[in-house]
Amino acid sequence: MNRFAIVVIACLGVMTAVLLYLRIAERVPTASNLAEAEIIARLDRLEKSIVQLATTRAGTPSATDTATLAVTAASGHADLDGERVTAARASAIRDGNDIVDRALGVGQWTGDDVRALAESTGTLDGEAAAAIHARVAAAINSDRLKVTP
Amino acid sequence: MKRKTTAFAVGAALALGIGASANAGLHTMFPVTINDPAMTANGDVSFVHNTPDVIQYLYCESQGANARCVARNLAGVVRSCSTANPAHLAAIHSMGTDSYLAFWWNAVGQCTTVIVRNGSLTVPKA
Repeated sequence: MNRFAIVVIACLGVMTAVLLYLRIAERVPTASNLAEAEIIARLDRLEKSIVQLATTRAGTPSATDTATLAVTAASGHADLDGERVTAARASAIRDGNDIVDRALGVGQWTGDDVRALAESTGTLDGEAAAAIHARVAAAINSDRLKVTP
Repeated sequence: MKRKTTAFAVGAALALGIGASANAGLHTMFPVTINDPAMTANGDVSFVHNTPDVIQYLYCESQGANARCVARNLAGVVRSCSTANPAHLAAIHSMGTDSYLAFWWNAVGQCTTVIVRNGSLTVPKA
């Protein structure tokens, strides 16, 4: 009886030992587990790099560069706006003077000319518009332009 | 003698463009007058409007920051000036339908002086 009990206890002990070993073996990373973890880490890094690159190309600067880029962009837009305004002003002055020159060529200042000049000088500053209209007035006053309503 | 004096008074008043209508008060009745040597034009806007002829006109047109004044007298002579002068613009913007207007110009068509008078002197537009 005692021998049977000893054998049973021995078997239980062996089984316990095997189970313990299996559980521990499960926890300890193996070579394949380590490789898998490394691949996952690299994929994470790669993904982050791709996201960062895409963000940069999309024109969304990082927080560090935001201020610098904002100043550059603002001055760039201001330059562009300034150039557009200058070009538009020059164009309006040219158009206005063309209308006056055409009228002087014909020697008549018609209602259509009045409307066209008012339209072309409508966006100009007062001085520039007045200067073009003064050409008309001077031509009328010196009888080089005949007013025909 | 009395008839002569009355005729003279009426003639002088007409020559001066001053008269009294059925309504009380002194009224000016200035047509468009252009004085080329002095480079000036003037007139009563409403009186000119009421004249039976279809020749005279007198106006200023403004685009806010610049404006022009134009006058044509009974002889069909047109004179004009252009301005961006703030004082001129203020005067022009104060014009009403019954205003008196006078303007002066220089050789390059700029207004040198603009006078607008609003008050009881002019006759209203009919």
